[in-house]
Amino acid sequence: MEDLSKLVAFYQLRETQDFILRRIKGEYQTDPYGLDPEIIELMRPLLHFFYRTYWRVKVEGLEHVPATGRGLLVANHSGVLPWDGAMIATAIAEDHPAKRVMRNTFLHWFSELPFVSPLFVSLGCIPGLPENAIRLLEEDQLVCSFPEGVKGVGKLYKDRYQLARFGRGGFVQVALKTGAPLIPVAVVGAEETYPMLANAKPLARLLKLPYFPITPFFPLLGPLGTIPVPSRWKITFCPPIPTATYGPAAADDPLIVFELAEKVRSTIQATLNQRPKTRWPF
Amino acid sequence: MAVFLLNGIDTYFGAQVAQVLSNQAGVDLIGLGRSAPIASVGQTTVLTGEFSGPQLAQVLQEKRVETVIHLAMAGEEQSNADSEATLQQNVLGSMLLLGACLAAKVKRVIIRSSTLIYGASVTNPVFIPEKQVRSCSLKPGLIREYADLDTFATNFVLKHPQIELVLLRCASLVGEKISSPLTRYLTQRRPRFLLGFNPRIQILHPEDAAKAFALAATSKKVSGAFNLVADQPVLLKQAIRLAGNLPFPLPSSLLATANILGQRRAVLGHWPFEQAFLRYSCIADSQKAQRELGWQATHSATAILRTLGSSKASLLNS
Repeated sequence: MEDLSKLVAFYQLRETQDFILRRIKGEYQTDPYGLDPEIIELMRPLLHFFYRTYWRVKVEGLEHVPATGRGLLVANHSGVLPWDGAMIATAIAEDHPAKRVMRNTFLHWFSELPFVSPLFVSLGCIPGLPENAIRLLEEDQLVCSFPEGVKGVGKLYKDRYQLARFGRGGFVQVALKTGAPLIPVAVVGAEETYPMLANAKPLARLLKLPYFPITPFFPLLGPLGTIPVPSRWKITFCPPIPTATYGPAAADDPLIVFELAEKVRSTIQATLNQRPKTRWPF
Repeated sequence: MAVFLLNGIDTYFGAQVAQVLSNQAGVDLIGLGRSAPIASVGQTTVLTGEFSGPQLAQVLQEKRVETVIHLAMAGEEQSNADSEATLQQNVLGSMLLLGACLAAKVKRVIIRSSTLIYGASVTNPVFIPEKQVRSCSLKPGLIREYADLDTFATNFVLKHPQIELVLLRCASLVGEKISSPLTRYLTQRRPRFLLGFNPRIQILHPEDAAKAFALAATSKKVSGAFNLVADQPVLLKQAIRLAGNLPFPLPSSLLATANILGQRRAVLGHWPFEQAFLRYSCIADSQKAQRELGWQATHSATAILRTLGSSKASLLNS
């Protein structure tokens, strides 16, 4: 028995060594958008831990995410750091029968951040520009958009679960141009990960950040304050809203665009409102 | 026999294009250069010397040139070109050449440009199409000269529609034989990168680029701008490692201080482009060239870099 475990340890060590040597020589492949499968494999245990153990994410309506073909997921955004996107992607990668890769879109401002920007790219995220989303959807991929943007993640705790403005409807235009179904996604629990009591705007301006969160733990506890609160999460995938019937020309019709945007927004808000009023977040 | 004139025969890349083009049937190629060619140019008639605008027009007229291929961009293959002389040649020299083409009633002009003229900006799409308008300004240097020439030529043919213009925007040429800005960066000792950033870059093998120039020169109906890149982008650090080198991290604050003190070169080493390209990607989409020009890169980016790495290793061992 002991010999066997030694053998296993030996092979694991050798595999790790091979992996490091290959990375040093640059012998790895990324996809055209910069997604690095090996980095995703490295991060998977961490995401799995957050998904199963830490936030105990409950998922509903995964059958509304297509097993093949394009789809534009639209989710509410909250919780200072974009953990919600990571958890939606993990839900589809782990619990969906097709185990699909979902591409999160991020605000291009994140590209300016050292370390964060290359990490996002290697995890398969793309800057949230219409051109990028259209290209991915035309390749029949799954893309997730957060139309609230910074107004969502920078929301105060007292405003939790109240959706902010849905941008200018750009996400609907993308769906119409590519005929991709819109899949509203409601995330409950991310609002509590960093309860933002106040936004220190002067500090944010000084550091050129979109917001500077004051939570019960940050900046009081320093780096420890960046550990998210282990709230209990629920992600609901709502029935898809088809857009192919309108045709690509509808993307230039503001009436249709705003009608669809409002439909998505109200679906998400209604799903969020269904959360138990006495819900204990932990 | 259709007469073609290639400006910039004295460069390695010019010779490469001449080799491909001059061996094609029905092609009479004249090569123009400041000095004699440095590599085999096939069946090209070579003219050397410095030509003024009117002299150029005279040559074009006398030889009844139909198509001009303009590759003479200083700063590509010389490692320490004087910046003022470079600008003179690249921008003003190119403007004079276009003027001469107009005077000599040249039908087609093929101009070399660069995919980096879109600039390094966070608002760039992941794959930049030819119609993209640059959203940031460029600092003086080779890339801005390409951008100036690109814009000037585009506006020039708008006013003179009798000239057909093809702009071939090439990714940085990299190969074991060519001296180019990015090859020099990748083969220097410990190339620097900015700590915390790892932009994706695109490269192109000179052979593939030469094929595209020959295609553009001989396919009569094609015009407009085309991005030319090897199959897939690679990460900057990955490119350095594949080229058999080790990337050296540089904190941005250190680089900022060096910039203020005027010690950029000492800290950054040889980086041929502006510093924004060390942070943000500028990745061009070459689908249009594949569709309309029927061009396809045969050397993949990783293969080019591996060859560069092994040629460097054999150089050290010998």
